[in-house]
Amino acid sequence: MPPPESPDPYPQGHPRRTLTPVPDPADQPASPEQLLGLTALGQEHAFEQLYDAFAARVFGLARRIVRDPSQAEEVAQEVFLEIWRRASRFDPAKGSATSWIMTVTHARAVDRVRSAQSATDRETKVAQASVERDIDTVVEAVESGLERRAVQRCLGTLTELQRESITLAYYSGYTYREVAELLTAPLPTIKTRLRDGLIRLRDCLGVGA
Amino acid sequence: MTSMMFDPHLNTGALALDALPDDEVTEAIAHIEGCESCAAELAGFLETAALLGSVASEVPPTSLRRAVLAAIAITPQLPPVVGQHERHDHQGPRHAQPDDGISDTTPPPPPAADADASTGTVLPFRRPWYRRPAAFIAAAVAAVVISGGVVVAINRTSSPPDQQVALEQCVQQAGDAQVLEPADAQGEVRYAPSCSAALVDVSGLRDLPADRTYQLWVLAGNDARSVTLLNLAADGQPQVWAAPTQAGDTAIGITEEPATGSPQPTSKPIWAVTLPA
Repeated sequence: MPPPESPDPYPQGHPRRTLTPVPDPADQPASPEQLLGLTALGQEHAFEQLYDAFAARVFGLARRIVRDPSQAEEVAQEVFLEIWRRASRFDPAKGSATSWIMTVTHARAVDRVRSAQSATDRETKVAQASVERDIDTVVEAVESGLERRAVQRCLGTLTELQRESITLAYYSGYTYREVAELLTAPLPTIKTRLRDGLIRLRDCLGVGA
Repeated sequence: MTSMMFDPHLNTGALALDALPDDEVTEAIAHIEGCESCAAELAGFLETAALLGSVASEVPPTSLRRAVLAAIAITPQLPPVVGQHERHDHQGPRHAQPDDGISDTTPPPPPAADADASTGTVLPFRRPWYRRPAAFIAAAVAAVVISGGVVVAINRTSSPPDQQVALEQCVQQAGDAQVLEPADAQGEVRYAPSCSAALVDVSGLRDLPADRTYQLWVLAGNDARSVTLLNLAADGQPQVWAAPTQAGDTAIGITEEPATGSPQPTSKPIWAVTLPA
């Protein structure tokens, strides 16, 4: 007598499905937005993950702007403390977590370089700065990774004046008035180049407006 | 004002790159808050700038991680913003709100009264000078040429004269009083923690037009407390003002403000000194 057939768990007409393992949700890397949300609830573990995801970007940008590594460390610490304190104020409807964090970083680094020097010091520094060197450094730094290559390629699509204006303002922390002084261009021209340069960069990088 | 030369719509680029000088930022943000297409453009620019920032990545020393985690363990977090505005202590008269008939909460003040709430829901921009770390405030003072000797008087509205006298006597006699001088030496602050007060010498401030006034502030981290307005005076007015201080105060400074004073500083300090911790 043949053994009784084991009952088919799948009723007729329903094809068997191939199941693939899914990662345990606990193992899945959370998005920066999720991590910020958890940080707002006081979860230090989420904040640690956020730190690990952004430490190099925060420190690197601070270092680029303030130059001095120990000051860059201070700025980075200030930025992460601010992220911790203000996590509840992050509104994902207004922009990405990355944009929020990098905006804080840039603002704090610029606060630092502008506060640390008297107006006279800055004028001297502006007069002595080498435009060429700053721009070369930017291009050199943009060397690996898809994101870096995309940024480099897109910076290359800008006019020279757009690119110089944006890199001097963003990476050196100069005001548009100082940029105008450095590039011996009229103030309205620099303000306009910053904006139309960013429009071109934004569209080239495929950033949603 | 140079900023009047420009179409305000063009400020989004400079603002996204923190390239607007302090004296143009307030106006630019005010415009963008009322201009939907500007706000959307700014958001896109900030995302773009974040990519520019990302390419500068550099691994920080491991000591940074320890320092950050140790710091957050003892740092309280801000509460979320309730509705469009931050919750506020009850202050000022209650206004009838057409759509708020049953609520017993005080209507929120205009956003401008609370910079933290107004920028908290949008994106964080550069701090006004009085919200920066105390160590940098003294360096941030505006370069003001003071043509000395004009008598400045004090608008005694904020603390009664007898308190002034008592604080002044206390500080004058305190053993722990320290003299602090602003970087450009245009003034003097005699600070006595044991009296919870500082005597601020306001002599030598230059004359102001009738629609402007000096305002004295005590700063505690991110908060600026107005101490008093300082107006041009008749002869014989005191040249020293006693500012009550509290534990946690970080600096004392003077700004130039519209004649009626401002709830928060609206300009760079003429001078500021940091208080020793």
